[in-house]
Amino acid sequence: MTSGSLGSLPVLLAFATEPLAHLRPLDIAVIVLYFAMVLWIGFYLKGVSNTGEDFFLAGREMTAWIAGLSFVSANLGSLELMGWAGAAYQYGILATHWYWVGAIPAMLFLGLMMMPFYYVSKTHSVPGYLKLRFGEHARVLAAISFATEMILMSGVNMFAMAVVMKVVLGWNITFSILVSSVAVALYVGLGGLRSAIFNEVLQFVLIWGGALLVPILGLVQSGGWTGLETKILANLHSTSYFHLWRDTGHFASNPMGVHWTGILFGLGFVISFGYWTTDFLVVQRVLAAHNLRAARMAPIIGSFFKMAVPFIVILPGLLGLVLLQNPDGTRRVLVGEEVVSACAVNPAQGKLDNPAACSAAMASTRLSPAYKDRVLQAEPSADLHSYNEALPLMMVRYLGPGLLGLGITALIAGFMSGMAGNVSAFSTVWTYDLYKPLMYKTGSDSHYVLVGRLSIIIGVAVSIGAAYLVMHALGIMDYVQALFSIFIAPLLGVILFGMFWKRATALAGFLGLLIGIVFSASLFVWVKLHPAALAMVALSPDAKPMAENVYRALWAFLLTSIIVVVVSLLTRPKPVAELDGLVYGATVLPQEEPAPFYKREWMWACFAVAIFAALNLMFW
Amino acid sequence: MHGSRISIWFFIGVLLIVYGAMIAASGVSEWVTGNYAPGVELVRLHMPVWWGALLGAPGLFYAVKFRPRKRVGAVAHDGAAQKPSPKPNAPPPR
Repeated sequence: MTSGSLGSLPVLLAFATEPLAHLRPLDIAVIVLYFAMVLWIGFYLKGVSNTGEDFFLAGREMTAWIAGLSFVSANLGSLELMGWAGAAYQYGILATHWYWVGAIPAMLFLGLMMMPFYYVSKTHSVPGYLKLRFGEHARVLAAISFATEMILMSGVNMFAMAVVMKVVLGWNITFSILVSSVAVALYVGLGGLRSAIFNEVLQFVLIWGGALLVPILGLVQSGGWTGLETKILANLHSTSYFHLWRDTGHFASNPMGVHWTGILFGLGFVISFGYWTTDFLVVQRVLAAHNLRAARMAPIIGSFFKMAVPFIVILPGLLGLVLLQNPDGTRRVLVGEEVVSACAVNPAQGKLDNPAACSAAMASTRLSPAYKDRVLQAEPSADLHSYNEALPLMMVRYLGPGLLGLGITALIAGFMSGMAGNVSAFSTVWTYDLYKPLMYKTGSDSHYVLVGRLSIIIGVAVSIGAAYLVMHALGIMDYVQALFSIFIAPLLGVILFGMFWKRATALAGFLGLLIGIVFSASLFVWVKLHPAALAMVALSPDAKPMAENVYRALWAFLLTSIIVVVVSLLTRPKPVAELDGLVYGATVLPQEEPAPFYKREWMWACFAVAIFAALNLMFW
Repeated sequence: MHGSRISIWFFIGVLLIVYGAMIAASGVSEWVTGNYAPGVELVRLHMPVWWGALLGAPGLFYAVKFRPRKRVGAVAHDGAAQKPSPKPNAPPPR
């Protein structure tokens, strides 16, 4: 789930002048070594990825730890790292909701309640489960939606990485796109899902190794958590930055413009459960587990790491509020991309392109009057940086030679793990849910492996095309990112009813999914064309764009649920005997081997719930 | 996973050792010469030295513990559980 504020990231591209950082030979060596290692792993695993189960499901032999780390890592892209650090700079600790209530309950539910059905049905994908439960139509609709979303998102990821490398390091856009895409195509194309999972574990370690030092040094410099609170209060005169729930009683009383009902039901239930339990990108990692207990434990293990991620994402954003400095030693204030673009300097004349627009754009920022004057006079030292640059700016502030290379490697690793996740999931869905049932049903296993490898190469090529499309038509990025939220809520409704209600019928599943997607897309287009409609979608004139996503998902889920229930009651259900392995109450789950209490998934899930509750109370 | 396969933890261990050595060596060089990178905060804490050591120590542990060994019927402790090799041309999953 990416930050909503990243849709405008490409705007930076047009106004990137001086890169934020200059790499030294040691930093370059660190990055080159990383690329060498991921390619080595890909080539090494090529020899053991010859069957369909090996290539598409990593041989179903991953332990809970590997599957769990990969499960979290596939979602820990750099769009996440940078976007949510920027969101924390804007909204404070409220951004943590996307990591805690927006993830943990859903991950635990997946492990404890849903994984048995995904795993026991021996499906290779989420659309594959829909086929078994609701028939071919639902599968094809879900597969087409999902494959399109994956390939476009891969392109967006690719382009976003290239923009970040351009802004942070001054690298050429085409160079960044080609190097990263060729590397991903090679290691996923050679080693399949196993290679993607292994590299995701490596990338997870590097992300922590490269990013963890920033909040540690930031806390040292700010005088610990208490010092940070004191400094934020002194500079920003608000305590809202440190409260998760206290100020969500009304849309207008918190900087994000959201209400607790939207956070709890829209984000905490529909979006979160939709993403973590039905998005094949993450579910595929858990399906690779070597037995049912490992498959159930993997999301639970992942939940502990997910709860820790705000330490390397949210905390740097908060620290940036008070620690980032201008060259003259005053506190640096970050602004939105629209302000950066409005205040662009014409390099030939050394003056602002449009001082009036710049002045108007800066009016709502926290920039001091003196700094605004300097910006209007286009002083070279009075440069503007956007919220999304909070994390790279903090890296540049604290990381010297070698460590900076490691930090940049963490960002690159994040991008590559996201892209690899997209293309490996696309390859499986394309091969088994579209190519095999619709084009060539009687191929051999080796034929489908070949199709899978080719689809990765073609998928990466299409992603590159999507990346350039986004570059030349920036508005498209908003639409591509919206695909996820448009599709996921109806899918959740259909899968939950399919998995937990024996009465749900094939026609109900298909119609619920189709009408839910159309309805969700219509709401999105309505708000795009008439921004005032946001007040109706989110039920408040004070609602901000962040609230739109959560309420749109909530309404789409409710409509899908109503359709599934009504149509199911009007149509004839499958006999219960045909639902074995697919539906709760009609499935006899295999007996798991006895295990000591400290290896049982329920015990660790209770532990995770206790930490989750404690964190929410601590930062209430 | 099969006994002769190299564990992912070994790959990670090796990379962490190399990174740790490079970064720590750079930090030691800065410390000895006093030639710190301009614009970087808290350089007097010599973080490259400590962080390099912190990366290298677990790296060494993983590289040694999960080093490739030829053993009959062994388990590769790489997060891949022991399982018989799938037959070539086995039927695809549903």
